[in-house]
Amino acid sequence: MDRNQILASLRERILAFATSRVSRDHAEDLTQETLVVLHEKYPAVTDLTELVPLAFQVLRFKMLDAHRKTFRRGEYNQESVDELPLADPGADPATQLDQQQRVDRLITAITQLGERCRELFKWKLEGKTFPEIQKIMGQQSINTIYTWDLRCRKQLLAAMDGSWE
Amino acid sequence: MAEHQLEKLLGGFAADTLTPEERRQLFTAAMQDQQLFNALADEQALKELLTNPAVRRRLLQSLSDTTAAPAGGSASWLDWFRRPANLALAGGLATAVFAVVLGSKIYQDSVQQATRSAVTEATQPATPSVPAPAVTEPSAPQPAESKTKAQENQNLSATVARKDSVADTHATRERTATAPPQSSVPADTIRDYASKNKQEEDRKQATVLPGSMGKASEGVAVITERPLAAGSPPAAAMSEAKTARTTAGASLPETSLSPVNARGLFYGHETGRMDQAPKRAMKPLPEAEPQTSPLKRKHDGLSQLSKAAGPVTPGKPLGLRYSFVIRTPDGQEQEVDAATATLSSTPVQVTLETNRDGYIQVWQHVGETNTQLLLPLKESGHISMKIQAGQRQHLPLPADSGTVIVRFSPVPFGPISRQEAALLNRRSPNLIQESVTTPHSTGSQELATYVVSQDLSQTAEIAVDIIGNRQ
Repeated sequence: MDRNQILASLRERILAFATSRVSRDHAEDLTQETLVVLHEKYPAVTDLTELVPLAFQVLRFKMLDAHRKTFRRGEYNQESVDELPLADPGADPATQLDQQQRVDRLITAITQLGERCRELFKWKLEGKTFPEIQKIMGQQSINTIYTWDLRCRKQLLAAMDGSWE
Repeated sequence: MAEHQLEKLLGGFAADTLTPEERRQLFTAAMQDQQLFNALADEQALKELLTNPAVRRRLLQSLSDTTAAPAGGSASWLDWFRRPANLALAGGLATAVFAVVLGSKIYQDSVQQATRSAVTEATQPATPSVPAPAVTEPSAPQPAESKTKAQENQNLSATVARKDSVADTHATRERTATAPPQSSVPADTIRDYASKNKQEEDRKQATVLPGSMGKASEGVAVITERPLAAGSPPAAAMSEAKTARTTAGASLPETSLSPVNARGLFYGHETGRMDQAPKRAMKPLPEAEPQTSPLKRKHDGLSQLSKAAGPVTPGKPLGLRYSFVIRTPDGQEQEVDAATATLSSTPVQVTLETNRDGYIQVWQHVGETNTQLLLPLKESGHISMKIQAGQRQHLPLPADSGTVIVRFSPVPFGPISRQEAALLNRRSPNLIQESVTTPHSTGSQELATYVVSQDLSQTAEIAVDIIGNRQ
């Protein structure tokens, strides 16, 4: 599968995903903007295993930007551009607060998990792959690790009220 | 890995711990599966968080703290219970313990009930009967032959009742000639009868003679023929030899002469008197109420319960007529008494007749524990058989029938336990039993026993053993 085929498939998937979250017109705009970024800024990325996660990342940024724009709609005309402060290259305080709150929620949710789930999560955070975790936990089949991880992930998601946001 | 299992790799995507092969499989599948693609897109938020090294450190720190904390005993127990297999094991153990406790309690109750029944059976025969004061009533002079037979019967009665009547033979003779024998019914009941029905009793005195005082459970009456007396009332001219007895206790070996005519009650001639009788009989009299069995107490309780629940239904008392029939060499059916039926080598049939519609059971009681239902037949699948008033039911008696118990009730019988079956040979309380010999104009004669219950409540029941061990 070459890059163009991957991008075509990605466009279809991204549009379907975005449509499930925002309006159709807005979803088409988001998809188009994501593909433009992939096409113009990352022409060197051709491998599927790199292009797909990159598309997810760009799409998420685009959706967050769209959300912020919607939130701030109408405010740009009230203030002069000259009076706006210089942009901070780091994350803005709102983003920092949002991230901090999400981390707190995540930590609270993780502490509610069982011992095995916590161990699994810890090993994953330490960068261990599933085959490595399989050896650590002494399991014969890696499918067991996959299944445990899936259940733990669902428990964690449920503890976070069904969303990572 | 199957495609539907690829979602299991989502956790590795967020933590960025997938192997290159897993990544390739996951993303290739995501390009084909919209749901998986959506899930991956949702995981991007978590992935973004976990990509931050500071966040990772915080999470690892918190996980290390929480992992070290539950090293205590209580937390490990909680974890132990969280596992489904352990939870199922604990539930199974709890169920087993509950079943064992419940089973042992039921077993203990049954053993205690059996012990109580056995103690009751053992103590009742040893209980001396409390004789009621004899009621002396003037009677009409009787022929000498009848007087002699009555003397013999009275002596037999006295022997069974363990009375020292030999010491005063003169008094015995006098009592025989003038007074009815001692009765096991309450004394005031007898007085009540005597005062209210004096004239009728005078007539009875002319016709009723002391009956057999033999074994109560056999119900074999010694019949005294009374010759026709000139000038006697028309009712007395029926030439009936009657032996009536009223049982106040369930299995007391007492037999008494009662002024109440069971045959008349059976056919509804003396209902008025019966209306009075149970009221008196229901009264608890300490001097006339010997130790009662649990069965009787239960029955009395039911009677009183029904009395309390509503008025007693006035009407015909519950009655049962039974007789033994053999076939003579010339092919004719002939009614015989119980003694003859017991000793007969030819097939014997029991004829049962009731005066009310109801349900009937015939049990065969062999030995102390073995009880089996003769009627209705096993093949019918029923435990009680409906019988209509006036309808005669014939039942062949087996050769080794043992004790045969007949039960009659206006309501169907329910299933009984083995312990209750062992108590079936207990007679119902408040029964009047009378054996009748009546010659017919056709040459045959009626040899039957009438059993009538004085209990007019809806829960009245007749249970009587009609024959002993038949060879």
